[in-house]
Formats: sequence, C-alpha cells, structure tokens
Amino acid sequence: MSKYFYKQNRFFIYSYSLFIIVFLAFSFYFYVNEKKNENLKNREYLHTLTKIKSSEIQQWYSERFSDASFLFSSNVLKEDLSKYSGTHLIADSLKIINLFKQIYKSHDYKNIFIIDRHYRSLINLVPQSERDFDKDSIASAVNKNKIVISNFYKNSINSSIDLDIYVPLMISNSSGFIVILKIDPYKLIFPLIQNWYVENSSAESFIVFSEGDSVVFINRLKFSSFPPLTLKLPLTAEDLPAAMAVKGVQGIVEGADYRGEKVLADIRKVEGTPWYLITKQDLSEIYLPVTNRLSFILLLLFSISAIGGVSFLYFQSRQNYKNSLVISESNKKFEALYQTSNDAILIIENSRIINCNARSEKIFRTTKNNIIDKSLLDFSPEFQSDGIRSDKKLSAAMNDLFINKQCLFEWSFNGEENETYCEISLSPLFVDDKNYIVALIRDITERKKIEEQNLRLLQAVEQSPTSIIITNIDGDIEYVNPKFSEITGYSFEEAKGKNPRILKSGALTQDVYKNLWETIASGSEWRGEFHNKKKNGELYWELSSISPVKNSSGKITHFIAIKEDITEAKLIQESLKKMTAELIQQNKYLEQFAYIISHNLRSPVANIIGIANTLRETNLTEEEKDVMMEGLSFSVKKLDEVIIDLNNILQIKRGVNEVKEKVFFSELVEDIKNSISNIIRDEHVNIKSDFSEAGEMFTLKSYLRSIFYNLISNSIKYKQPGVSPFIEIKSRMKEGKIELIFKDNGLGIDLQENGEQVFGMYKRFHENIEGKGLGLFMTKMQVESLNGKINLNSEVNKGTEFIIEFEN
Amino acid sequence: MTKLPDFILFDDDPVNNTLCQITIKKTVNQAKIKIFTAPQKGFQYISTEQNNYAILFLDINMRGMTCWEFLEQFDQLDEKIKAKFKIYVLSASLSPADKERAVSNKNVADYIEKPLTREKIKKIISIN
Repeated sequence: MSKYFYKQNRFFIYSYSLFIIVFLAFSFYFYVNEKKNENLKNREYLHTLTKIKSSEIQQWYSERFSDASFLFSSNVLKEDLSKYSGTHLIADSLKIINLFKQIYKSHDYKNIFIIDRHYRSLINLVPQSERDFDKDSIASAVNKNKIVISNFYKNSINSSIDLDIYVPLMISNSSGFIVILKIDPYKLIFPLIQNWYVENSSAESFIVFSEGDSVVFINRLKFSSFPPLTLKLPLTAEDLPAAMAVKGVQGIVEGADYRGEKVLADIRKVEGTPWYLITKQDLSEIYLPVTNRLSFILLLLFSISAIGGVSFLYFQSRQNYKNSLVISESNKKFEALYQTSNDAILIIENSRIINCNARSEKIFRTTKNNIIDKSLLDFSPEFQSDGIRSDKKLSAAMNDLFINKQCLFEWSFNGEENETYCEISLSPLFVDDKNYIVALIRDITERKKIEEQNLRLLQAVEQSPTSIIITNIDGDIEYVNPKFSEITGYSFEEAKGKNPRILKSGALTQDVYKNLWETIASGSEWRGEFHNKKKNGELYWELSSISPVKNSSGKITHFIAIKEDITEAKLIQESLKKMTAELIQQNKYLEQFAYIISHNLRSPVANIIGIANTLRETNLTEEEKDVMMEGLSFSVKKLDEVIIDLNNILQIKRGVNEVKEKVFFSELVEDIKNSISNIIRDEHVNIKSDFSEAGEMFTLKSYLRSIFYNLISNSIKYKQPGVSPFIEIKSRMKEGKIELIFKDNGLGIDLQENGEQVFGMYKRFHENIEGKGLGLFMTKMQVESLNGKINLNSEVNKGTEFIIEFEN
Repeated sequence: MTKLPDFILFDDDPVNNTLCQITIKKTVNQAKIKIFTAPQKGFQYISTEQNNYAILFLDINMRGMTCWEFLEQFDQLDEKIKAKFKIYVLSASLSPADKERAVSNKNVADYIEKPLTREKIKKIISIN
C-alpha cells in the first residue's frame, strides 16, 4: 500500500520535497543574513550606549573627585577642624557641621564623617549610621596626601555597599583629619549604571573590577539573585565578557554571560576608575525579531505544507477510499465469479491445490477439505483417454505453461462410472512475489458426447448416397457433402458461400422457385424435381427435399436440401412418356383409321349392296339397268382404291423399319421432275429449288420422296385456273434443325375455316378437283414417322407454303 | 296421306344418289326428288325455296360440309322452315358413335344405314 502510494504519487512527493528544501534554504539564507544585520545593528547600539554610560560614570566620578578636591584644598576647613578638635567650641563646630551638612544635602551623600589620624571620630553627620571604612584607602590617602576614592566594599557593620571618598586634611605628618564622604551606590551610581534608555528585557549594563583571580560584579544583576559584590567569577571563564574585560579586552565581543547565556557585549574601561563597564544583550533577544520572522515564515511554510499535505492526503485517501470501494466491489464480483463459476477454479502452489471454488467439489466429487493440499493426479486415472500416462501428460502441460505462459489441454478425471472429460486451462499467477498456477477446469463430458454424436452424424452425412446441401437463411451454401461434389463437380470450397442457383439450368420456370421459397420460408418441407446443370454443363435431374432447419426458439436458421440423382429414372420416364405419347398418337391414328375404314370402305360396299338389291328386286328399265351397272363398277373400283390406300398407309407404318441413308434433296427433286415430266410440260409447271443452306439429310429415302412427291403434285393439282404453277422449294438451317419449305401460287386453303382438318384423312377442300383427301394425311404421317413436324401458311387464291422441320 | 312428301338428298357420292333416286322412284310413285352434292347449295335451297314438306336424307361426310355442320346451321333456321323437314341421317358408317350422335340431335328423326332400300323408304313414309 505505501509502496503503491509512493509509486502513484512519486511526482507529487518529489516536487513537494523540492519545494520544502528550496523554501528551507531560502529561509536559512534569510535567517543568517538577517541575523548578521541585527547583530551589526545591535553592536552599534551597544557600543554607543556603552560609550555614553561610561562617560556618564566617568563624569560622575570626576565630579565626586572635584567635590572632594574642594574640601582637600580648603585650608580654612583644615584650620576649623584643627580648632574644632582642640577647643571643641560649639560655634566652630556648628560652622563645620553646617558646611558638611550643606555638602551632605546638596550631594546626597549617605553620610559624612570626619576622623582623625587615630580613627577617632570627630564629626558624624548621621550618628545612627555605620562608621566602617577602608583603612587601606585611608592609609594610602594619608600617606600620599591625596584624595582617594575607595572601591565598592561591603560595610562590615551593616553589610551595606559603600563607596567612600577619603579626603586627607593633613596638618602635619602626624596629625590631620580625614573627611570621609560616604556614597550610597544604590542611590547615586547604580541607577546611572543600570538605567536603560529603551525598554529591553535582556539588555543590562554593569561594572566589574578585578580582585585576584576573580572578577567581581559590583551592582546587582538583572538575572541574578546575588547581592552586589557577592558574585565573583573566575577569570578562567574565557567566554565571560566580564573576565575578558578585566583581562584587557575592549569593544564588542560575543560570549556567554554569568548565566551561560549567549550574549553580545561591549566592554569599556571606565577611565580613571578600576571599573569596567559592560553592556550586553542576549543574542537570543537580538535575534528574536529574526527568529520571529523565521518562525513566522517556517510556520507559514509549515502551514502551507501541512495544508497541502493534508489536503493531498485527504484527496488521496478519498481516492483510495473510492479505489478501495471499487476494489472491494470488484473483489466481491470476483469472489462471486469465482464461487459461482461453472468452471472449477483451482489455485495451485508447487503442484498442490491450495484453494478451490465450489464448482471444484462437483467435478472432483468430494468436499473442499479433501481437495486442498492434493494434486490433480490424485483425482485422475493412471492413463488419460489418449493413452498417455497422466503424470507425463501433466508434466508436459506444466512445461508448456512454463514456455508459453498458458496452456490448454483435455483431461479426464475419475468419475463414478465413466471418466469425466474436462478441459483444463492453466495460467500463471504472481501474488506478492509468489508463483501460483490458476487452473480452470471445465466439464466437457456432455460436449464430448455431443461431439461424438455429431461426428457420427457428420460421417453419415459425409457418406450419404444422396447429396446434401445446407444453406444459411439467405440461401448461401454453408455445407455440401462429398456426394454433392461427385454429382455436380463443384468441390466444397467452390460451392461454399454460393447460392444453389449456380446449378440452375434454366429449364424450370420462375414459378417453381417461387413456390419452393414460399414453402420453405413458411417452415414447410418442399419436394420437387430440379433439372439442373453440372459444373461441366451436363444436365441432370434430381429429386429434392428441402426443409427449413429451426433453432430451439423455432426460428429458421438454415435450409437443408437432400437430393437424389434421378437422371436415369427421369430418362426412362421421359422415354416412357414419349413412347406413351407415341402410342396414344398411334392409337388415335388407329381409331381414326378404323373410323375412316368403317366409313370409306363401307360406302362403296353399301352402294354395291344397294345396287345388287335393286337389280334383283326391282323392275328396271334397260336404261336404269345400265346406270346401275355403271354405278356398280364405279363402286367396286372405289372399293379397290380404298384398299390400295389402306395398303399404302400400312406401308408407311412398316417402312419405319427400313434402313436410313444419306438423301440429297436436289436429287430427289430431279427424280420427281422426271417421273411427272409430261404433267410438268402440259401444265407449264415451274419448279425452282435452292438447297444451298442444307443439301442433304440422313433419313428414309422412300418417305422423303413420298413427301416431296405429294407436296409437288398437290401444288400442281390445286393450281389456280389459268395460272401456271410456280413451285419454290428450299432448305434452311434453323436452331440446329433442317427446314424444308414448299411454296406455291395455287388456290390456297381457307385456314380459318379448315385449319384443323388440313391434314385429316379423306379431307378435301376443293369440290371441283379430283382427290381422295389422303395426300396430306399421308404426308403428315410420313413426316412424323421421321420425327419431323409439318405446318402450313396459306391464303385463298394466293398460294400455300408448307414448312417441314426435321431434327438433324 | 293426302300429300306425299318431297325427297331431298344431300350426298356427294353420285353412285349412292343414283341408287337412292331409283329406289325412291320405284317405291313412291311420282315422288319429287332433289339431289345436292354440294351441301352449301342444298342448304341455300332448303332455307329459301323448298315449300313442300320434305324428307331429307343427309350423308355424314360431304365435301365442304359435314352433316354435323349442316345440322348446326339448320338449327339456326326459322321454326316454320324447320318444321317442313324430316331429317334422316343416311350413312354407310357402322360407327355407333356416329349413330348415337345423329339420333341425339333433336332435328334428326332417325339414323339410316346405307344402302337405302324400298323397305326403309316404306317404313319412313308409313311413319309420316
């Protein structure tokens, strides 16, 4: 977490630290500089102060001295004192006492008293006051006969601090008086020393003098409870400004004062006195404003840093809190995922399972406690389904995991009856510098079963003797089986993604496909036949069953077509159909034939019977008999003709069995021209033929000749009166078929009236012209026997055009 | 029988016509016989010129017009005209289909097989 924090906020921490360092450095520089300034400022101040004070003390001292000098040089006083000591006259005494009283008052002395050489007191202005004095100083004053100002000393009688001025008034070497002016330092000198012009807490000034190895502090000190003159410190204290002073140091020094406090001090010898004036101030106070300012700055810095830091931490913690919420949320999710996962999830450390989810218990068929600390091998059979030893397979998988950082393999675990097939996915997991393996185990037993089932189904489909196509909903091929490829020539790869219409030959109408789609789209099965085209263009027939494939929700997702090649059956069927049609046609002919026979054969017979009856039973005139006989012979002849016709017709039917040969149309026409050359000559017939497009065909010559003959002779027979017959015969190729066209300029036939009967047996359309109505009937029969078709166009009094079409 | 009917023949077979003419004459004295080999012409005649009641013999297969076509046209004629004719289909055909077709026509009295004999004529006259 802290590492994480550090990493997350490295930049912020660096910049924050840098800011503080720079700020501190700046503050330090500022501090040092300001200290120096303050120091200098105070040095000057102290120095000035010391100078003033020392001169004041000096002045005070010399004033005292001059006071004393006034007494010292007063001979009158000497005399008066002499008198006073000798006579004790009150008047003289009063005079002297008044003088001294005046001095005492004007100069605020503590006491003035006068002693003689034997220290006997002559006058004592303040009798109740103590009378101690410095005998050494007196001796020195007497001996040298000069004014001596004693040093401060402690009065041995009442312990007050005294400073005495000894004024010797010597009369002779052995006699004289000494005036002692006692000064109360508390009143006169100490305030002068200690007086400070500016309110200041640590600053003070004092005077010291040297006494042997010590320095003696004269006046009371600000920070000491020692009474005056009692504080004595050894000279060995080097830092002590007082010690420095007595050792002769002058000017500004830095040191430690009697308390040991660091101070700035100015030392000055008070000239004419044994004293040294020292003014000093605590450095701490001098630097106080700087320190204050620094403190303020540091406080500011601290505040800023604190506020910055606190707010950063606040936001950070909020962020962390949020993150922690997210993390705890996601942890919950992960936990839920982990526990509810349909896959068993194991955490493995050194081949041992250290944690597992709920699903694992199902797969291993035991409780979590029995799974923990086991190995995967403990739940596995000795050999895997692929025949490899379980331990070898597992170590191979581990190796794979080590190299590829993940691995996926199938695995069987011990089950109740059969083994449980699973799919194991291993991946490494690093947590807190430890290596784990996460194993995801999915039970694929069902899938495996389905796969096997699918495999069987697939094999069945693959090996099916019928072709199978599976398309998607848009009709794009997704699957075809090998049989399909075998039949159509399209490989699976070629067919895939294409529409089955690649097989369309175009032989079926659009309606069939429309019906097909409507049927299967509505969810029903469609059955029907297709006339399709293979890849090589070959046509084939197939019987198809096309059904929609629906998903579990009933929605159509695919179509499956199962197709059987029925080309052969279809061919047989086709030929049967053709045969049947032919038979029906034959039958029709036969019926017609029977009918015609019954009619046309019977007609002459009936006539003959009638004539015979009449001849036998009736009395006929000779003339009538002749007519009857003539009728009889005509009828018999007619009967014979019909029989001959019948024979001819039967001949056509038989003739199909003749051998086909190559027949040249031009030869045929020439032959017929020759055979009817006399008619052609008589009737001025003009026959024009053109067989340049198709000059020959492989056929039955006798039939084709008969066809040519009938059509030519018809054209001549039914010519327009007074118009020479013009017959145009030509051949042409049309869609692979041979067409023969016979065109004349004859009478023509009213096709609207007689269209259907043109080719009927014994149909005659021209009353005035001899004919049995058999020619066109026979021509049609012959054409059809040669697998051809005959048609005609005709217009009355314009001409007729016959068109015969033969398969080549 | 105050008045004999006329006889009209529709047939393109001249032999049959001659035979019928003789047979009718030998059976019915002074019978009026009209013969048409072209049916269109005959139809024209019966629809406009024939006044007397007539027995009409109709052949099935005639050049230019079959008896069925004739009967269709005949049916279109005025009832008065139609009433003047008794139509007999006279055919050599042995086909029962022809016979049935003829008999079932409302304008046809009967179907008579060729040859037409005196007995057949007598029978027809006796009916009429």
